[in-house]
Amino acid sequence: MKNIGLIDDKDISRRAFMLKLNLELEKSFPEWRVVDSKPFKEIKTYHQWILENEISVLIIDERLDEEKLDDGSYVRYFGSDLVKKLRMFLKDFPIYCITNIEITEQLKKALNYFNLTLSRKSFDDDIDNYLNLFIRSGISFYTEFKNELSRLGELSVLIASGKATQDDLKELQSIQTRLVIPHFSEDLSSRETYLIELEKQIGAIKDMQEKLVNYLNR
Amino acid sequence: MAKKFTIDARLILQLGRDSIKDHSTALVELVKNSFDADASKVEVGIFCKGNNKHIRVADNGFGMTEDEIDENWLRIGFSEKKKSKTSRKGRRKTGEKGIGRIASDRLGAILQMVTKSEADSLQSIIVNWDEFDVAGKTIENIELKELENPSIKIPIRKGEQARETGTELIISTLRSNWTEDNIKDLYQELSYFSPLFSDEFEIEIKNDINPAYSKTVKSAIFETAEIELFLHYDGKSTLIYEFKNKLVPEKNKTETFKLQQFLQQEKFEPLSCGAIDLKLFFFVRKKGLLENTQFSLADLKEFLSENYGVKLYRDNVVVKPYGFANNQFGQDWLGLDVEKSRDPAGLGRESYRVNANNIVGYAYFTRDNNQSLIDSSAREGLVENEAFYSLKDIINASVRLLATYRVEVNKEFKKTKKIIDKQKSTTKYLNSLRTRLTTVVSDINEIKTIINNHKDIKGNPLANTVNIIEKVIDDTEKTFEELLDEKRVLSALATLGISSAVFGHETESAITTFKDNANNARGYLAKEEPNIPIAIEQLNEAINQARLISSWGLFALSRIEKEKRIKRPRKITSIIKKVLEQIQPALDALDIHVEKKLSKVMASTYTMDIESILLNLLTNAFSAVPNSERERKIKIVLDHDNRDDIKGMILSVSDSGPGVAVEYRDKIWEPLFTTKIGKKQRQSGTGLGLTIVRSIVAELEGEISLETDKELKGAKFSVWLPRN
Repeated sequence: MKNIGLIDDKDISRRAFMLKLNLELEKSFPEWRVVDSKPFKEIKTYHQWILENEISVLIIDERLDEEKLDDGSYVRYFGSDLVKKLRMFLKDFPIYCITNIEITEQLKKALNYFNLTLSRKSFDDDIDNYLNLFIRSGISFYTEFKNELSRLGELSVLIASGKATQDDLKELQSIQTRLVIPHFSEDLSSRETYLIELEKQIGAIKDMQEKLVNYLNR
Repeated sequence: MAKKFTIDARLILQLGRDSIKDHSTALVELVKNSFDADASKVEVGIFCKGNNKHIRVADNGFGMTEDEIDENWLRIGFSEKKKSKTSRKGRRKTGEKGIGRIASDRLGAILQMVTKSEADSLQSIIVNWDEFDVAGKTIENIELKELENPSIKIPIRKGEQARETGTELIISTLRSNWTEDNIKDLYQELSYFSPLFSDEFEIEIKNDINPAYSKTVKSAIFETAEIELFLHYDGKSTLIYEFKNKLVPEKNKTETFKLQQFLQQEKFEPLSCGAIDLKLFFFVRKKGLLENTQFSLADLKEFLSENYGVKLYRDNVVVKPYGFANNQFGQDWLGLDVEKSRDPAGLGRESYRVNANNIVGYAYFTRDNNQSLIDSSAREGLVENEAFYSLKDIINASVRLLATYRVEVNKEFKKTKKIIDKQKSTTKYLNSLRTRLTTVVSDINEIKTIINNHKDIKGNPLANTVNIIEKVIDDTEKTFEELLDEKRVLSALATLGISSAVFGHETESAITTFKDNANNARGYLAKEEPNIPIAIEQLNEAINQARLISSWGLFALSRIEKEKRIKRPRKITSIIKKVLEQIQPALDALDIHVEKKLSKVMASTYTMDIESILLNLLTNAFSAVPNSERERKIKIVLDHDNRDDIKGMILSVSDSGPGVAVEYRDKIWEPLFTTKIGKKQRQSGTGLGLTIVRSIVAELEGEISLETDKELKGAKFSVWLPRN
């Protein structure tokens, strides 16, 4: 889980920045590494990429449509568009924006979605502090994530043994929602949407059950 | 014994003749009486051919009872208007002298009056004014008779239920011969007078002298409105709007809206108010539009103060109290002033709203087609149901449409004025000034020669004057040239600033990457176990980035070289190629492919101007291209193009961006207007680029146009310039 994800469309700049970050990490946080990539054409690919590469912090550039992707096309979003989509299923995930451009109006509108938005110059001027901040937020994210998994195990044992209280069930439900949502489609943008969808499916099962009972009673 | 005056009957005639200047004024006085009687229509007939010569004034007003004839009409000098300023139905009365009836003496000797009121039977009277014109005869000695078999023909207003009351005057034994011009004058006098009546009073002239004026009198004041908007709503889904204005006639138009489009709703029901016709007139309280009319500003102000607001007419009968003063709603029952006070934006802004007292309007509907508009039983007016509110909404929406149209027209009006100012070439102006001054100098020189030949010592001051003028001309020319040169440099500097804002991002990225590369090379070499391959890779990349940075530096420095500010034969093709080479790194950074079709063109011009034009157009294209899904392309074409026997060249820059929306095409030339505020916000535009291009093109006496490129589908700017 000790990886920082770096997204930028410009291969040369991205590689140079990745090498620079790795050099700095080796000094103070030797267990951490940077995993970099061009932006992905489909937003849903980010979720898979984050899970597969066990990324706990994400750094994205604002301009993502300047260089071609491998298939010759361009992405149709900026960093400020991407973060809004990512927040639909990565609500507490640390996401930072480091950009060479001035902070535009569009970027300002997305400030609340980022943990922090920085100009590249500000980052370079105080790189140690910022890297420390990034790593700490990454650690707290994956620690919480790990704690929740472990608590999920404990609660499952309680339920299996029939010892779970009403509060335990509520807690389980809450942890499940936090952990499970990323595994659903990004269309399920909130817990409410998820519950509505669940209700529909339960309804469909009930209908089927009713049909079966009718059939059997004929 | 008590003494008393007796009145000579002639005095009455004298009174009328002194007060009324001519026969058309006399007729207007009779028409005023009809208005004061709350008539909705008056017919004025003047027939001077054949045996039955006569004048007829007939109205459908309230008529008179026998008592009213005796106590009012036959009392000379009595005027009801002195008792009450308004008529029974609230009209403001138009005269106060009480001499209208005597006016008929001006028109003819015999007056027959027949009148019908609600409260009495048909009444009549015959007056022979000639009987008054006898020396020594007192008024008591004249007896007036009634008609033997009176009958009355009451005018009927189209679309209105026929009325059963009214007054008809027939004047015979005419005093004057009416000419064609008299009839024309009468029409005009009535048209200037009728604004007071607004649309609730119709005057129809019939005559056998000048048939062109046998028609309904149209009020001339409505022709002074800056804007007219007519709406026809069919009661279902279609609204037809006709817009007219006095400032930019090219903007007159008719537009059809679907109700769905108008309400901005997918689902809609026809408006419950039913079919409506609406006329709105917008007046400005300024003298400008009153020129060439007989109206003064005071007339217009009075008219507006009496008539502003929108009145409702059902079957051509006014529905009170809407648009009338002194009622619970006020003249502004639509709440236009409240809306204006919420956002008092001026005409320069899109949110501009009109004031209530600039609008005069009439909404027409019928009982049959608008059954949901119901009279209130509790008070004056309509029941405030859904139909009433939909009627109010459609009128309000139309007023807003008028306001938007006014903004549009005024922008166009301003622009037309601006374009004329802008398109003046300074060089052209300087040349004309020079020619005029040279002529003056040449004339004075001739005088100087004559004086010198006469060896007149007094001529010396004149010779000095000539010398001063010649020096002033030289100085002026020099100043103009310096100013033009300064303008050229400022345009180039502004262009550099604009292109820096756009291409500068690429340089900034290059500087950041260069610093990363250099630091990485050092860092990976300084490690305990140096990573030589990465260090070399990063050093190589640092060199590449340094090249990019230096090319931008060269580009910036070469923009304002002095040599580029001298007019001489230039290879335009080379200038274009050089500029493209300099910005190539920025184009590469965005994967933009440039297609060039450059003919070899020579022109005597300023390199700096050509560069400024090209750079501004390229900057726009560079910003536009990433905003569309198409392959990123810019096309530059240069070719010879002669126009009107002037040798010229055409330079066009096209791009594969989204193009310039039609509604922006007129605005993009204005200073500080920018379209670069879209979602992408690649960079903030300054709104100066195209203004600079336009200014340079005007200075070089060229032309510029914008269209859509057929191949690349984006914008195509074409600049034509003379080559000499």
